[in-house]
Amino acid sequence: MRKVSKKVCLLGDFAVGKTSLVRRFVYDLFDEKYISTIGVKVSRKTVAVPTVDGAVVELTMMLWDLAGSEDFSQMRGSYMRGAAGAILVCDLTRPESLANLDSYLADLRQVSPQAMVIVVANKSDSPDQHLLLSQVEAGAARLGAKCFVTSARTGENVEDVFRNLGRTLVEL
Amino acid sequence: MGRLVDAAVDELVEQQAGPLAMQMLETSGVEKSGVETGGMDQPPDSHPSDRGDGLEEDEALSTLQKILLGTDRNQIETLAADVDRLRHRVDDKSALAAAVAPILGEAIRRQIQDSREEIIDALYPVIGQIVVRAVSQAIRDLARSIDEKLQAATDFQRIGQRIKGFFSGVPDSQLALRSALPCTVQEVYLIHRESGLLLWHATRSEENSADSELIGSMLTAIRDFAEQVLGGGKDRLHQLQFGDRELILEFARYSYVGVVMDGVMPTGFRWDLHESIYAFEKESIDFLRQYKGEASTVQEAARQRFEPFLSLGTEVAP
Repeated sequence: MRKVSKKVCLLGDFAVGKTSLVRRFVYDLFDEKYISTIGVKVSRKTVAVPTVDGAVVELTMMLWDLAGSEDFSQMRGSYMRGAAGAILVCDLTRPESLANLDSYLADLRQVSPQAMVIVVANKSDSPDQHLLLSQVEAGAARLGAKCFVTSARTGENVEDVFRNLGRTLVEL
Repeated sequence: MGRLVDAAVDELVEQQAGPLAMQMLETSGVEKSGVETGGMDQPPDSHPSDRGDGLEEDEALSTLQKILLGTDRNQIETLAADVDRLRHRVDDKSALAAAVAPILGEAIRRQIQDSREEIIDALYPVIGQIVVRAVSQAIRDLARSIDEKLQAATDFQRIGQRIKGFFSGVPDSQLALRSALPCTVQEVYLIHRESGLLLWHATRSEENSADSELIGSMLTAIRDFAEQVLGGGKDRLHQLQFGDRELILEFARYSYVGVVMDGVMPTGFRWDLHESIYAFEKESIDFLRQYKGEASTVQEAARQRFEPFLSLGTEVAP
């Protein structure tokens, strides 16, 4: 079986759920506590990805969960270097988190212009949503990316996001 | 006989238990017989009634015992169970140690705080001996290592070392000492410079090896962090030290190598590493320039260049 490794960065404002998405995907866990990521946290998950020609590729995704806080914005650029893919995460309860994805994408394009991008609107389980699906889709279209609506708490669509990105990365 | 027992029971009950006992006897179905009700009229050889009397007396006695001694018996049984448990715990050394350990630790801590000088005076001779012994052993190992090297060296090597010593101003003996210092390479990581993806990895011990792919990425993140925070340009992070263990880094254009070692880096090691990484890059430049995550094609080239580092140096004494 072909073995491929790819670097994937998770970008977005603080507390949108980047770390929770990774925890859900890698460990199938969710923690209500919020602990701000300092710098970057790297996780790894290996998945079997079918290709268009029917083969199966063993894809190892090195997930770089970058701190969303402004304090770490200077270092983010170097952490994004060499990324094959990126997941831009916004929070359905905070509309400004969708608008801010533009700047993250701009930073990413400076160091990894070829990176494949997916937009994820997280916290679909929350009753306090302020973003409509149409707004998210419009935002993603502006960024030239597919979009998914997820809940790291319930696990809704989390696996789909990473597998979808994985299939795209393997075809590169 | 039955009449005598009856009399004894009645007397005991009246004296010890009082009205309550009498009531309990009555409710339990034990009949008072003999003395009060004219039991002397019963024929002495009447067997069924004798047997009946005997049973009733036993029951009465038993009931009386329960009344008088019940509470004490329960307490004794409880105490016996506790004693058994304690005996078990004492007999089982590991359980006893586990029970005593927390208290012992706290007691020692307090004693050290309260009587620091006395503790130091008491331990000093013991610790001193341990240190002396360890240093002696290390010196003996070093001397043995030097002797082995001197014996194994050919004449030409010895002459070469002397020449090196002459021109560098370092005595021959010190050069021999320097090359005899223990060093063990534990891990070698070859990492794609930009993405931090692992290209190749070798370890001396599989069981102690952590997730090499994660380490490759984290090392790259640490390198990036150091460059951002400390400044001064790229590729300036040459080593990380943790206790007696060092992580030596050597950078080329598209890749870098990290070597984890215990002990003192041998002379010329870093230069050999530098040469190896550049030779590897030269062989694999096209692959590295367009690296897309599949490292299978460079495994053999990496193994040939970097696996020999695992066997470099001398063993660190345990």
